[in-house]
Amino acid sequence: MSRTLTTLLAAALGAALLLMVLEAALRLLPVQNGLAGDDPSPDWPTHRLRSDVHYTFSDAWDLRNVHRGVTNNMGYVAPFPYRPGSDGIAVVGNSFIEGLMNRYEETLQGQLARLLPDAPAMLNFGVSGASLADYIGLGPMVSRRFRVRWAVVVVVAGDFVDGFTPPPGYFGWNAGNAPPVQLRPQPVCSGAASLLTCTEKLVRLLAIVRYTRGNLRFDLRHFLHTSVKGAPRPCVPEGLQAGDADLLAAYADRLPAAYGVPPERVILVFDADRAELYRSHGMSTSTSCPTRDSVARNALAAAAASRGEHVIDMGPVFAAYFKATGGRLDYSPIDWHWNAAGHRLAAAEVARIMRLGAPETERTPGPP
Amino acid sequence: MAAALRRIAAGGWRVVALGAVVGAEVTAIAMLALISASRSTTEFIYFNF
Repeated sequence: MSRTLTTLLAAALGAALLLMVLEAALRLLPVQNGLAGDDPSPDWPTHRLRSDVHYTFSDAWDLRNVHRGVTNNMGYVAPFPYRPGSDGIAVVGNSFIEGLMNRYEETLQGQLARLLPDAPAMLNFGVSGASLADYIGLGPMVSRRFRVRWAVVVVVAGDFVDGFTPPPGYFGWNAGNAPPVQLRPQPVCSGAASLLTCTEKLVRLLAIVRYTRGNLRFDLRHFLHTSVKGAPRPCVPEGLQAGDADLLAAYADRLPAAYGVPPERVILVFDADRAELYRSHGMSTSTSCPTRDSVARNALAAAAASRGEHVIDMGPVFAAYFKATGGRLDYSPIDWHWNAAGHRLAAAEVARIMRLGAPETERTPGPP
Repeated sequence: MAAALRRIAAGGWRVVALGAVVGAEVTAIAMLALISASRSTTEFIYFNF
């Protein structure tokens, strides 16, 4: 065997041995675990977590903010099963509502249940990576399976533009459909599935993979993007592009029907620009440099309000809290998801509307 | 430890040992680079994969 080949094989062996040591060490530590997507089913073809799993969440390289919880029978983060045919308040959003970085009781849906003890079950349908397109695309699936009393939709930065590049298993924009979205099918590891699909399922069992992707947030596309990023670019204000206004109007039109509720039973909660809030010492929560996404979210808020849907702007609420207490609403700068305070303030606003809303918020008899 | 290292350096396992150390070092450096890069990542990305 040549000296070069021996050296290369030895190097591979050394690398493998170190990875094995790292794998063993990480298995003893609270790296992210159990947060794997389930296979789609014909009646629920969108992304969700594996059902009835005990998961561990932690953030960043040093495993901070450790939380453990469970997914329920439908693969959503909730400590109780969702019973088909029952009454429910649908709470929809992305990772903010999925709420892995908070205890369930601290999340918007958890705090709503405490604020409105007589209300139907709070059905959390938040999934990491979802966008506005998912929030409306889920509606018909949810309303077919449950009697929806209210639909609460939490809208955050990126929710409009992310709908143009949906990952597999998520909805994306399609102006030709009603509602204007289309599901991007999710590959399943069975039969003639690609090797990549099946390999992903296997490698996620490795702690080192979960640590790299989950805790270190390593994504090749993101890595390449940041590696060529230079100094901050000057602000170039953006606006809506052709077709955006029609898409947003159709969205506001169709959202209540998607959940089978009247417009006054839809509550849209809009997050604020909290980075700007902290930068301005509580003086401003509006984006200093308008983007296509921020303009679209403002347009959606206006369109929804004009149709009788409830719109909550968390900006003034967050600003008042920050000025009064100096406390943050999130885990920034590591993680900008809402913390318990952010969720509590949002839940209080939603509960206020629901209390005014109707006696129907109270529980009605479910199916036998 | 020093004696063991001297034996390895003088023996036929020198190339293997050196290669293994280099492989482990490259892996460690790559891991540290990922950790370092992650510390400036504050975007809303994480995975349910």
